[in-house]
Amino acid sequence: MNSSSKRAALLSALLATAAAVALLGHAQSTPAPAPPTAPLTDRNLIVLDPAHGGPDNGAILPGLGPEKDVTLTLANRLRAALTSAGFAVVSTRENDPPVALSADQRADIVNRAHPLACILLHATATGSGVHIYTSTLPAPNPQAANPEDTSPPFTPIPWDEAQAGFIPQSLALASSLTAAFADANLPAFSGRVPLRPLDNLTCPAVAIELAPLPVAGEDPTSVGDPAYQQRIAATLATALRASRDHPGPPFLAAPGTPR
Amino acid sequence: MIPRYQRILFWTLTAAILLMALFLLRGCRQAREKLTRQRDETPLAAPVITPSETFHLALASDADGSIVMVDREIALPTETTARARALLARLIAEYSYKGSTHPLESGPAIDDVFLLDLPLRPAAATSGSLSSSNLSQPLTADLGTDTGPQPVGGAGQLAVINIHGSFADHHPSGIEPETLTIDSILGTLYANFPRIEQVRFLVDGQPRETLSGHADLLRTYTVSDTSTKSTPFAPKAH
Repeated sequence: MNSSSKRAALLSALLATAAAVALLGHAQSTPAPAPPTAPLTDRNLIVLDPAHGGPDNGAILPGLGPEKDVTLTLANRLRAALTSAGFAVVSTRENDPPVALSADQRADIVNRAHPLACILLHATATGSGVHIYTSTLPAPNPQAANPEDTSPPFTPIPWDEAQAGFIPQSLALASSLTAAFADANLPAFSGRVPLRPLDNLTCPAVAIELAPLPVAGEDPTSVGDPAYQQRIAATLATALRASRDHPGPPFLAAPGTPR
Repeated sequence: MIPRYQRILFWTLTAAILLMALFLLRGCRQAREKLTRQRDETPLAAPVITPSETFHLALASDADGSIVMVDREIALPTETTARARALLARLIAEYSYKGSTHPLESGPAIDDVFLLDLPLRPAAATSGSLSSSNLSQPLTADLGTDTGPQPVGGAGQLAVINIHGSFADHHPSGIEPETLTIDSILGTLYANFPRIEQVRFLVDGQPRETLSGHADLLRTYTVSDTSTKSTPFAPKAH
């Protein structure tokens, strides 16, 4: 091998080494891909889910007919109250369709909207007052938000546990609604129930079940009473508006969820 | 003076009434004897005298949505699954009594209870196993026919409760009444069967979405103390 060939080979080796070092440095300086995050919440949007519909009548309420009609009427009143408060409102049904949406389809509508809150509406002839329910799923482990946590940055969320990350927000929403009903002199009870599609929602969500209103010395007010329903709608709208207009975050934040 | 023909008519009718009454009584007696003859009274198993024991029932109340633990003296079978079924049947029967705080229609409610040792293993890993392809989670239990890992002694159990369809169809519809019924069942199992950790429900042997339109029956429930109004409660020891 002559001297020019040696120089060419040495130059090639130096260039290759420099290129490898440069590539390695670039790879080390490139930030790791960020874990997927939830889209921003539309603080001006509420989704209503009047339960049942179509062939699914729900409960048959004495003197009122099927539950699906009562929930639709209540949803219409609540929509008007929320619109008056400046909210945009999306409803999973606005009439009585011949074929009802499945629980998964209703959850799909809600999850694509990214609302401030989702209100599932039910009615019953048993019990009394307003029942406010949240999912029975456990709240997320605080360790997930720990920066020293060595677990993978992203883990898939099972569909049946989609609500788990929003449990703190949903509980805060239920708490604020319970307080609002107390301020309006309406008896309200809160609890946690196994109810679909509550577990599949990726937003703060509660189920409101309307029960007869006890009246001292008289028969309870029926859940179909327009004045009773209007009080419920006005109270819900007032509480949700207060949460939206609050200067800080409306509800507790789910770990890793931007507001 | 009553005419003669009227007196004859009166006594004739009276005699006819008496004869008809005697005929009716005789017919009733014959029918009862016929039914008695057809009844098979052959003894099949020796009678067993089971002493009454104290069991805890988690009784629900619609008025305030509470569940209270109460004690009942009940004589139940000694076999565990039959014992669980009988206890749950008694629990549901309590709700059909007059003055019940969580009124349910009377009638058969619990068809059967199956107990499977945990942990369950994937369906593909076993042969001769119980499985339900329609369930969101496959159920597979050891039947002692394979060589796979056996459940550890004292491990928990999954109770599969098969409910009568008529009970579910006639159950009061609503979030609260349906949830109270399920919580009542879970609380009663927790208090009396410490090995049962999880519960799944079937209706007439098939998975069903809801009990009566609301409470989810497709999920696996974790057994826990569901009582909301009671003193600190300790479940029965093994």
